Amino acid sequence: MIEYRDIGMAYGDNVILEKINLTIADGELFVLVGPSGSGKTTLLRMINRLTEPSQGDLYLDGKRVKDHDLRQLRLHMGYVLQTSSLFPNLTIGDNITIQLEEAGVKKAERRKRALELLEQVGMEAEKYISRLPHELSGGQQQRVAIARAMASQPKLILMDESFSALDPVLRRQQQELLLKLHQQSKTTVVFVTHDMQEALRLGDRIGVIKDGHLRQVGTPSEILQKPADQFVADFFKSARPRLGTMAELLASPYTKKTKEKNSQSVNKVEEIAVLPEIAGYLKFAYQGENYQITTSDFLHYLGKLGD
Amino acid sequence: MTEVINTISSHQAEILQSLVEHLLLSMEALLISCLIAIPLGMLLAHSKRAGEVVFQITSIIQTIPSLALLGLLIPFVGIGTTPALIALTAYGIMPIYQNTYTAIRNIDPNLEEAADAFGLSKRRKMFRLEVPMALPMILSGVSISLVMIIGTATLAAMIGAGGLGTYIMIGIQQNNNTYLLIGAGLSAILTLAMSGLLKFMSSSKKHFQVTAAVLAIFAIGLGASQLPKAFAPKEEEVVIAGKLGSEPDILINMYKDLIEKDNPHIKVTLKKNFGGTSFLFNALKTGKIDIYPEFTGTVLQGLAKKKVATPHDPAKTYQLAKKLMADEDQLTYLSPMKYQNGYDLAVTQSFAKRHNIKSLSDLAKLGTSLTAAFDPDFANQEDGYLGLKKEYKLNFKVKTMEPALRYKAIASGKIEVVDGYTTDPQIKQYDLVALKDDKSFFPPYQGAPLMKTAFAKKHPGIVKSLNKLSGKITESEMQEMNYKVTVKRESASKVARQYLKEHGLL
Repeated sequence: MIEYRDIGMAYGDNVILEKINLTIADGELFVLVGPSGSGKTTLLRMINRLTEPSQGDLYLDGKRVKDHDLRQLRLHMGYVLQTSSLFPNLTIGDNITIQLEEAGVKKAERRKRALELLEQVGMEAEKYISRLPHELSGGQQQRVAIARAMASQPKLILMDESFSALDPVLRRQQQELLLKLHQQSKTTVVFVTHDMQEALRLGDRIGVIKDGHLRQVGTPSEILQKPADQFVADFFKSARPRLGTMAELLASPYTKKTKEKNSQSVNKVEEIAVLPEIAGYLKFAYQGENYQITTSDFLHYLGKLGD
Repeated sequence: MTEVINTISSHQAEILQSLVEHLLLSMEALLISCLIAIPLGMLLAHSKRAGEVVFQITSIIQTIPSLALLGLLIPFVGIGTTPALIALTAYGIMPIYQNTYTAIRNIDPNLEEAADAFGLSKRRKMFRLEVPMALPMILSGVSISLVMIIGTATLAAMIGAGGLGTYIMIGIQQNNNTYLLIGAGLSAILTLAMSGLLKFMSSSKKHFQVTAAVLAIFAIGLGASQLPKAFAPKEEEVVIAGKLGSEPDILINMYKDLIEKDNPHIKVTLKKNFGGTSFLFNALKTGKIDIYPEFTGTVLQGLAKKKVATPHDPAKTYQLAKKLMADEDQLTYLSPMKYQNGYDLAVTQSFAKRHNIKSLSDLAKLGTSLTAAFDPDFANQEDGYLGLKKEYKLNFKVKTMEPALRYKAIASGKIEVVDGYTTDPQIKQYDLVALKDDKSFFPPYQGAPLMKTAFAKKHPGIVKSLNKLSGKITESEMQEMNYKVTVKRESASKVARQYLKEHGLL
């Protein structure tokens, strides 16, 4: 459990963070989201003490983080940066197990662990373990970086804008990978991003931060449905599902004309979303024509629009 | 070209020794530079201000001309390999430090942060990450240093550290392009070979390990070969040096043979082509060397502080020189050999026969129609041609030219008279006659060993051995020996030993 208690951070007159109180439970995937310069990364770096707060205390499992042994603390914590930050002179295997090497784990053991982890992040282990980072693509490098963060089987992994530098397709893949891994391991993950789509997709809970203040903490639906203030509402506005026009929907291969009559007449896509499902189908009439679409196709169509 | 090959084959051992000296000196300097610069660069890379200050200091050292730096070090650490090593190391540090410092500073801060966040110790961070990442750039710094050091090491010969520079120095001194080519060529080849080796080493981890292992075996072998020396019964070492050229080289080889034959417990080390007059004189006074051969005329005109007119009588000149050295510098000047190595005027054998000329007075009688080629100094000095002209009432058409060219000019018949030194090998080479200075105008130059009086008292055996040469060796004998060494390219030690044996001295 991570507890921020009255945390403040200031460089001279420049206040970065003010009175932050936040508790992150074990096993949670917690996302800190906010525009750049909001202080979210600073908040993250306090956990592994790359930054020390100027006020308040941070507690890890009930003990002040500064009372933990720094080396042990960091050795048992995963960290994934924005760039993959793999060490260019070390093989993929050595990169993944660098913390184990520091902890004095035997070479054979390390190799075994590296192979396991590569498989877990969906890479051909034997093929990649001896390669150097520059031989891998950007997405592969970031997978390795995630594997590296899991090497010491940490209770906690910190991720700082870890997918922000990837293109949308790769980003989606990595997000799915993270969700899958998190589900399997139930490791606590604190994830920082400026992308609210990403926050909504990943977070068990989300903390919205702006100008050094924590504006709201809640589940994605809480934040979408009951934004605490105008900023939060505006920030997530564009994240509301984009439904597109009727013309777009009708042009998709999912909608089929039917001979059935008396379907409910609709004018907007929103109205289809609230129709009752009839044997897996949504049936509607638009400008005198009758159509039907399976619910799963409809959701799939909306999902694709969201990207 | 054939001359270069001939010289190399007849001087094989000496050239090899110079090459090894050069290589060892350079490698030692490079190694020390690395040992200083790399840790310093790594240490200071994390503190910007100190790093920049050191960076400036190393750059300033770089701007001092190398020859000046060598000269500046002499008062503090004397001559020989020590100042050379210090100067070369000082030069070598800059590129290595600069590259190390920059390489470490240029490491992506994200990587540094990652290493910290993973809880890596400082040591592991440095040796597992920073050093390997910075290594290519550090090695390129080492390679720049290497080239600079091997090049600059040729100057080390100027302060008695030996090496390939010796050949460059004699080459310039004697206007001998063969020596120049050997010295400069070999140092260029050495540079290429060593930077090639370094490139090979840095090309892959495996190459690095293999080369390092081979070098380590070499070093151990070299160390082991020195061991017997360390445990051998203690011999006393006496250092004898000579000025540039073949004649001092022959003389000190004679000294060595004579001393070692009579005093088996003494080991003589020779420093040939050690430097100019004042350099050797200072080396003797500061105890860097024990003995060197010096000329009586030079003592009076160049070394003694008291300025006295040089007597024309050789014996008087020697007595005066001996007294002044003893009074002024507590030096002992042993009795001289027979030959005089002073100025002379020479003509061809055929010319001398045709006009029946033996002395300068005979030459004067011939009148004014002769053309002479003189060294520029000789032509314009009172104790050279200006004085000589008055003394013998000579009147030549004078052309001044470089020493080596004069002899070629007379050999080709373009001129009739040249100046020179009485023991010049060219006299034999071109069939010339050195005319007798029958009015004793030229100051007498006789060679004799010079040493500290304390040294002479402590080593009566050495004095006794050296005195065997007193009154020996005539001018033509010395000419002959110089001819063998400079023209025929025989080794000085062989020529020296042959003379000693033929004259029953060995």
